[in-house]
Formats: sequence, structure tokens, C-alpha cells
Amino acid sequence: MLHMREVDVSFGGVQALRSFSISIERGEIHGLIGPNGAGKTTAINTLCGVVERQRGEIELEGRLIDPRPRRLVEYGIGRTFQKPAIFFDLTALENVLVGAHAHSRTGVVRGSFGTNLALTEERDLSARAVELLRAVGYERDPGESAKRLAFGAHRQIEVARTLMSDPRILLLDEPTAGLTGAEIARLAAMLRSVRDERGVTILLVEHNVPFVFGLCDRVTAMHEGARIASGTPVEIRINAAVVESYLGPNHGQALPSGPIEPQSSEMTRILDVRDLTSGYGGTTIIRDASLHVGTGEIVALLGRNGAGKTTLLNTILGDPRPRGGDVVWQGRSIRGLATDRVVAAGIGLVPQQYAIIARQSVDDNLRLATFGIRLSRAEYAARVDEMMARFPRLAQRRTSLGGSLSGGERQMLAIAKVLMRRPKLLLLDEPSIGLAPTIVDELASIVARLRDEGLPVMIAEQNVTWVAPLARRAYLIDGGRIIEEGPPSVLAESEALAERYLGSIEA
Amino acid sequence: MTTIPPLPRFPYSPLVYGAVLGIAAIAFEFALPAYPRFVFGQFAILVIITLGVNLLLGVAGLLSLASPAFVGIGANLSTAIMLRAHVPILISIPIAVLAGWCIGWILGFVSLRLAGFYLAMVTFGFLDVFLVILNEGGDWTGGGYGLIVPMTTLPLIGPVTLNVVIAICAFTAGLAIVLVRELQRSRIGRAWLAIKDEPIAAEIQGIDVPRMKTLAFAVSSALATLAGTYQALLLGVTNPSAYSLNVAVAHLTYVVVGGMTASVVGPIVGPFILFVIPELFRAIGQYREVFYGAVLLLVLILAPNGITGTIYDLAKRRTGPGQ
Repeated sequence: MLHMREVDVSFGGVQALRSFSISIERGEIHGLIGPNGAGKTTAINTLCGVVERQRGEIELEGRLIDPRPRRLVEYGIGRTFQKPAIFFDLTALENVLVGAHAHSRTGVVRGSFGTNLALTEERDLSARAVELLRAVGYERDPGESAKRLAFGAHRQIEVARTLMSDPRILLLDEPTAGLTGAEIARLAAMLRSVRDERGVTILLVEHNVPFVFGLCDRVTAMHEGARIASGTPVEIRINAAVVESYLGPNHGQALPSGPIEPQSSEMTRILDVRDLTSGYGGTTIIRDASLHVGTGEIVALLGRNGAGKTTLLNTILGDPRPRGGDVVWQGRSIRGLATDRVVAAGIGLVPQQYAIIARQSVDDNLRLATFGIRLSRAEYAARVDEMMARFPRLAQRRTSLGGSLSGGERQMLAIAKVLMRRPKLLLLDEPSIGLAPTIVDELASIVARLRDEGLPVMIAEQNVTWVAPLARRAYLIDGGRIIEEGPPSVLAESEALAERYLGSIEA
Repeated sequence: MTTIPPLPRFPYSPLVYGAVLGIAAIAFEFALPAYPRFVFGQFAILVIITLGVNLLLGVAGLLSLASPAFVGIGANLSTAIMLRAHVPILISIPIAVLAGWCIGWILGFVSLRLAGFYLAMVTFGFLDVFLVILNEGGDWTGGGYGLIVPMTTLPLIGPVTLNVVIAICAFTAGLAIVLVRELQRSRIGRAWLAIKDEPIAAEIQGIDVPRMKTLAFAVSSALATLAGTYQALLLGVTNPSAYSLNVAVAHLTYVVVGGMTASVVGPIVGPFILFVIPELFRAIGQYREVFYGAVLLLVLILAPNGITGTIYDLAKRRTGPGQ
């Protein structure tokens, strides 16, 4: 149905696709996997005409096409984005209605005067939009403003909006990124029914390997811009090249982790959060949250989307300011301190969105990270060398611009930037999001080594699998409250986790 | 199964509501003493202009400094064809508005690739060129002196006195508020907001982005031109110095203070606070500029989303948190 043949794409001297070919058959769910930077998103962007190809052809239903974004609806191609592209000034319903733009006719005159024709069209489309929102599992008020909804709802809205334009082919860029287990299960069921009931062909780019292998009819694996294998999930799973470049030799086994020392009860609390309450504007998000981090331990903060993980970390950093409770850092209250003072006191946060400057080189990014602290030339050089030793991937790309790095490299750079300041506590906000399994393994060993060197780490995650073996203790957060504390393995199995965190599948 | 929520629409045509609001505005006019009545007419004109500027900036996300040029086009073109071609007012105004629509379309089309600061610069250039033409236009523009608007009559109504002009302004403003609101909530308005938020995603959904941008320019320019034709009638003259960059900045300020949202309340609130209040309280008199600056500063510090944006947030807060 849709074929790319020997497509070359390069930008800024980087060859993103090398003679890349892929064939998607009518009615199948096709998975595209590969390490970060393999060119998966570029492949989708090329299909959408967002990226220009230098060579190669694209064939749709026997016809050669030269895709342009505006003509995708005509072709019957719909796509979603890695970071959901939501129109924040519109409500959930209106977002979905935008999907019908090309198939509806109301213009300025009909729109202003609200003619019968316009109103009838609007009513029919709204009914369909609500139906689609329910079909993708959206449960809240369709009239809710999109900016007040959580990430999971944004994904649902984006898929519903894309379906609204009646696509025959759906291109999904990392649809499970940032979703919880229950949401992922629901997504898989939804995609199957979209295929079975509407006859939509689906191509999805994914890092969630069990999801891809469980859902897809066929899978294409790519590496460094080229296709390395295509076949059924069973064939791909055992393909030597795929295992080597992507899944990693340890795939399916326990993740490597440093030795977990039995902690002495004397372990001092370096950070002590007591009954913390905070929020934005009129909304209270964190309620009476208490947790602590001891010297030399890794603590996990687990919870679903919108549970309050990011807000809790941000409150520790002083933005938003706490409304109640206290944050005690090394025995002194830092409640109410401005963020720069908290950072200066030795708490380093790596935010969820890669906090790097896209238009500056790796070296310049690292230099910028030491802004405001006086370092001798020798000390600065020593710290940069240390980062290059810690993150060998960065060492090869020191003069590359931040924006040209792959997702994994960006995350490493974001962590290196924080480490340049030699923090006494490292906070990581969902560091594994959008990363290939091999990179997540690498991240795990880097974090384990930091812990072994004495740096306490707190990781906010919803991907339990990689943090569970690392962390000594875990907190479960939901609705802004800490609802449970314990060893991550126990927590992962506990009733509370199953219910609160994974949600109930019937919902 | 969940039921489909009722659509947030009124049961009657927006024209009905617009007419009701327009007639209410006329009734209000005749309840006012002479001077406030004149201020009310100017306010109605500013509301029409600000609706257009907000549509462009607050809804479609396009920053233009050309609004006074279209006000000037409306004032001068309708007056000039009345004077020179002896065309009645009922024809001269539609011609001027049509011209404003077309020129707006062209301006939007040539500046399609531009955004933000660069777009502002090009539209400023357009305003500058317009002012040169106005000053060099000889008999058609009255040069640097402007034109004197002739006395005209309307069928059924009779001579167009000041009261009649103000009534026309008030009625049109009422109608425009309702129709622009309807337009901004229609398929076209959604497309504008979508383009402002996520242009690539909007394009992939099949929205013709260039067409929608030029359309926003055309609608916005037509509104400013219409307001311009009224302004000439209200003041009795065209004033070439009334279309300067300062005026463009004032229009933008009305939008910012009112709130750069898809609401039509902002374009009413902005001119009311920054124009009507200083006009009515003459005591502010010489401190007018200070008042203006103070209001702007206060709004930007205390209500960065503009007055309507902040009221909306407060209302949402009372109905409870979103999540």
C-alpha cells in the first residue's frame, strides 16, 4: 500500500536515511524500531513531506507521490507526534474538530452568520468527534480546555483528531511514550479496533519493545539510517543484527545494577521533605507529601501521569514555592528559597524535557552549565574530562550542536550539565522517556556508578522496570499524595501499585 | 454510554443576537448626555477596530502594525469617492470596505513567510507608505490637511446627523461583537488558533496555512476599514496625522490589556479602560499619559493574560481544579 524505496535524506552533513526502504501492506500494523538517532522519526517526517528527501521514491497505492504536509489528508495519511501536538487554546472537542477541517466547508460568511448549513455541519461533526474521543478512551468532559488536561489525555485527543480526518494510513510516532501500563494496554486494544473496524493501516515508531512485538504484524528494524531487517516479530526478535544494535545482549534478563549495600540505620537524611503542599495558580497539586533521601542511596518516585511527580521535584527546587510543610536540606530549611539559591546549595535537577541548548555545541552547553560559579581553568578542564569519561558518547560529539544529538545523547548531555556543578543530590525527572532499551541500560549503569561514588539520586519514573533493580527505596505518589513507601520490588507488586498505578483495565 | 453534551450554541441565528445588542447600544446612546454620547461613538469605533486587531494577534497570532493604515483607507476612500465621484454613502462605504478587504488580503499574502518582529516591520513599512501616499495624494486625499466630509442623507432616516452616525457606530459594534465571536468559534476560528499553537500539526490536518493567514489579514483589515469610514463621518474630517505608529501601538495595547484570547470581551474592555475612562474623567486630564502607562504596567504585572484572561482563570479556579 505504502512503499519507500531507497530514500536518502541528509541535513547539515548528517546522513539521516541511507537508501532506506520500507513496505507497508494494506491492513497491517507495522512497527518501526531502532536505537535513538537511527532515523525513525526522519522516516515518518519524510513520508509526511516535512523533511525533503534527496533521492528515492515514495509510492502510495500504486502511484508515485511527492508528499507535502498540506496534502496528507488528501492522500488519506494521518500522523501523530512524539510530543503530542495539541492546540492549547482549544478545548478537547475543538481539537478533534480541527481534524475535520479539510472535510468541512464552513467559510467566513457561513461561520460569522452561523447559517443553518454551518450549524448542521458543526452538530454532525461534534457528535462524531465526541464518539471518537470516547473510542480512544478519553473520559473527561469534551469541553475541557486542552491546556488543563494531562499528558495521557493529550495523546488520546491527538489520535482522535487524526482519526477525524478519516485516514487510511495512520503514522504514530512513539505513541506509548509517557503512558502508564494500563494506558498502553488500552492503546493497543484501541489500535487493533481501529485497524479491524475502520480498516486503517498503521505504521508506528516505538521503543516499547513488548508493545511492538505484541501488537504488530510485521516489524522493520533500522540502524544508522538504514534498514537492517524486516519481518514478523518472531523473526526480528532473534535477528542477530537487531539484537546487537538495539535490544542489547542482556535483553529480557535483569538489568545490570550495582551492588546494593545494606544501608546502616545511621544513614543521615540529606533531604527531608515534610508535609509539603504546593500547586500552580488556584490548583493544589501536591498535598502533605513527606519523603526523604539519605546519603548514598537511590530513591524512586513512582506514579502515573499527572500524579504530581514533576511538581514535587519542582517544588523542592523552589518553583512553585511551597504553600505548606518544609523542605530540609542538610539540616537547614530551604523552604521559600529561590531556585538559583537551591541549586547553589547543591541540589541538581535534570528536567523531563532535555534541558540543553539546541544551537550550542556540547562543549558550550557544558560551559554554560557552570555559569555563576568560579572555577579555575584547571578545575574546569578536569570536570569536563570527568564528564567525557562518564559519557563516552558525548566525547565523540563535543563540537556538535545540541540540536543535532540523538535523544540518548541529549539526555546524557542534560545529566552532564547538572553534574558539572558537582551537586550533592541529583534529581532525575523521567530520564528514560523516549530512550532505546540499550540506552536505558547505559543510563542505569551510569546512575548506579554515581550512587557508588556517593551521590544520592532520586528518580521520578513511571517506567518501573529499570529503576526497580537500582533503587533501595521507592515512594508511590498519586493525586499529589505519597500513598506508599517501601522497597521498589515490593511496591511494584503491591495491591496499591496495581490499582493506583496501573489502573484497572476495564475503566 | 456517555451522552453527547449540548453544543455551546444559541438557539437563534447570531444575526438576531447581534441586532438585539446593536439596538440596545442605540438605546444606551440616547440615554447619554451630549459629550459622553460622542465618546460612546468613538468607543464603538475602537471596539470594531480592536475586534479586528485581536482577531489577527490574539487568534491567528499575527503581529501587525498596519491597523491605522486601514482606518485611514476607510476614512479617506469613502470620503473621497463621496466628494469626487458624488456617490451616496450607502455605496461609498461598501466600496471602501471591499478595498480594505482586498488590500488586507494582498498585505497578508506578501508577508506570508514572515512572523513576529519581521512581520511587524513589514506592516510598519506598509503604514509608512500609506502615510506618504496620503500626504502626496493632492485633491483625492487633501494632502496634509485632510478632507471635509460632506453632509449626506440616508434613505428613510434622512440627514446623517451626529446622533445618526453614533447610532450607526453603536449598532455596527453590537453586531460585529456577535458575528466575530461566532466566526472565532467556527471552523475558521479553530483553524486560526490551531495555526498559532502548532503550525506543522495544523498543516498536517489539512489546514491551508497561507490561505488562513491571508484570510485573517483580510477580515481584520475589513473591520478596521469599516471603522475608518465611520470615523470620518463622526469627526466630519479626515485627519492625516491620526494614522501614525502611535495609533497602531494604542490598538495593540487595547488588545493586550483586554487579553489576547479568542474572547470578544477583551476588545470591549481594552478600549473602555484605556480610552473611555480617561475621556470621561477629565480630572485625569494632563495625567492621561501617566494613567495610560500605569494601567498598562499594572495589567502586565498583575494580570499578564490581560483582564479577560485573568477573570477567566479566576472563574475556572472557583469551579474547582482541573485535575
